Amino acid sequence: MFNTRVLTLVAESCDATALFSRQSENAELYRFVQYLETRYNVHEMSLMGGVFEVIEQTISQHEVKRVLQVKLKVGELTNAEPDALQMVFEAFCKDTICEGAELIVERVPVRGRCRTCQLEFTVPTMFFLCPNCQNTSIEVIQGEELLLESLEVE
Amino acid sequence: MESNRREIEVMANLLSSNDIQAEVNRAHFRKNNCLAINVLGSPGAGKTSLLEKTLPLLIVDMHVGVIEGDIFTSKDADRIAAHEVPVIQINTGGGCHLDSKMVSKVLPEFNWQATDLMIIENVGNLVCPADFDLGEAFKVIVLSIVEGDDKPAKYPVIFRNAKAVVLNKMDLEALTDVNMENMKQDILAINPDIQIFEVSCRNGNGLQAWISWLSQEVTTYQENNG
Repeated sequence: MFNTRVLTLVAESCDATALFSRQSENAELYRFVQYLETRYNVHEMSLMGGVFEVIEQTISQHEVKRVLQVKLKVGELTNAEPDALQMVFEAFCKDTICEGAELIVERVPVRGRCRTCQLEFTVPTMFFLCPNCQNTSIEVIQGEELLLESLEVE
Repeated sequence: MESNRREIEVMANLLSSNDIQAEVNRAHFRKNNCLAINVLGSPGAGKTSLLEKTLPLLIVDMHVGVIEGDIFTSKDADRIAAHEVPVIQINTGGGCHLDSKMVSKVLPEFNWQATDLMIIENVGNLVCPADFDLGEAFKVIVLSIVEGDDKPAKYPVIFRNAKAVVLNKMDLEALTDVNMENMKQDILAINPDIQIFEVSCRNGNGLQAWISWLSQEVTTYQENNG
């Protein structure tokens, strides 16, 4: 019989302890992040970890005093919730160069291209059917984005 | 004072660090001629039950390893270990999905000279795991019919990205109002290429077709890879 081995691995990007040491000595923030993490929005916390990785990398290559605005592009064919992203963003921004920054989340509708007649069309309901030739073999050409589009800084 | 307000174009993928590690994992599986699959589904859909029924038949012909994802316990891994299959439990400590870095950390625990199939059972959840590539060859969804025939339409992302869906608890069909035709129609509308298996892990019906298909997928992968 094989013995079960258990490893506890918390995602780096949503590890409240790592976030705490990286961003702030603020106990209130730590508790808030822990609350978020255990309650809900863990998915958006992971994504926000990605947002802050990109921000850190970008500002390291530019002279930036403050980040004023962060623009994301989020495809409808992902599971990222704009409201949850907003809430988590504020928690991540506290006591950082991004404090007070505005988060703009642009939802990107799903578009497909018919593999038979090449028609490109918006897929409104997630049912992939070509309105021209009724074919169901559809390539997704838009709607899977999870992008940081731009930063407004000073 | 002159403002230095300006915009920086970035256009960077938020999941790039996960996706890069996923590609490293994928290369690891390929190098070791091992088909890796990511098994997803709601809590209680029967993911672990499906593995319990599948493993005894699979291990006759091949070496299988299992990675179990769970928030806190090792209950699932204990069930798998009882079938004499090497298994590692990852506890995410509250996290709603496995990510590619977690998977990479447990890969050294397995014997890669002798693993034809690696089954990664994700945390029970129909939402978050869909966005996180682990480096698998493909995703398999386990959906129990008692969850309702509206679920594919309500969680389309996960169905769009899977190669197969196992509809479990078919033995309960007569006791529910589920409309199997609607359910299958919706699944195929979202993903016309998906394989659908109707099974009951409880009475064993339909499992043979699923197991044959999975064995064939391992063979095809290894032939194409070799």
